[in-house]
Amino acid sequence: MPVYRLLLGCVLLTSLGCGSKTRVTGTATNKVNLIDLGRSINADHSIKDKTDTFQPGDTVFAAVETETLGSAAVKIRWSFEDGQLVGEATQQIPSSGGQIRSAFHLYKPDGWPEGKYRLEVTLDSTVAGIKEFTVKKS
Amino acid sequence: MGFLDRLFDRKRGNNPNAVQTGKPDFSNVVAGSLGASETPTTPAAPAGRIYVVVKGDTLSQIAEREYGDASRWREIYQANRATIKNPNLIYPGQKLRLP
Repeated sequence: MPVYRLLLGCVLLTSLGCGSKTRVTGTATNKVNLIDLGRSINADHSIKDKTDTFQPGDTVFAAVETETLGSAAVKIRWSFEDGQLVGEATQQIPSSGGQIRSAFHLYKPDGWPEGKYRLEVTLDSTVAGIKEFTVKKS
Repeated sequence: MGFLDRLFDRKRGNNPNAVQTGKPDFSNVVAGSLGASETPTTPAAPAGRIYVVVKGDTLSQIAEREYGDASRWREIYQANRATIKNPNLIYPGQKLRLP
């Protein structure tokens, strides 16, 4: 009987330990380090010409640098002025985690309306970063 | 056609919803992900840029826009022979390496 209790105690302690570690990992270590915008990107997914102001015919590129301990979903939501949805995209971070740079693009064939836009980045459904930019004719 | 009719038609254009909602139409927006890469710990060596093809693009147009010389489309073609089978056929969303 003492052996049975000892084994039960070990299993219980191990389970609690694992659960706690997972929660800490999910909330404290997944973060967005950087959000850059520009009109073109390099092969390593960094932005070539950073800017927050675009012209109506531009393709908007976003590079999002994240730091995670494991797999995570990076979702971006592009919106216009009062929150009107412009577009969304998701990129899955591999299980190896680490510092990862994800690249996204946004294009409107007939040109962007002038105004203020907003890029919202969520990491596993938690808002982790926001970037605003403007479209205006030069 | 009265003044108000002409004014209304001009405002409405091709989109009857434009006046009703007062909001721009983003239904034709192309949004996507270009993938993820590990952040290098040392500065990256000079490398070709990635260009994402959009609707209406041709290799010569891309060369004109990126290099100021449409005849340099061959360089783009040569740098992407693995993915471009026919230089007259490139597709929206296709990623090209610009040498």
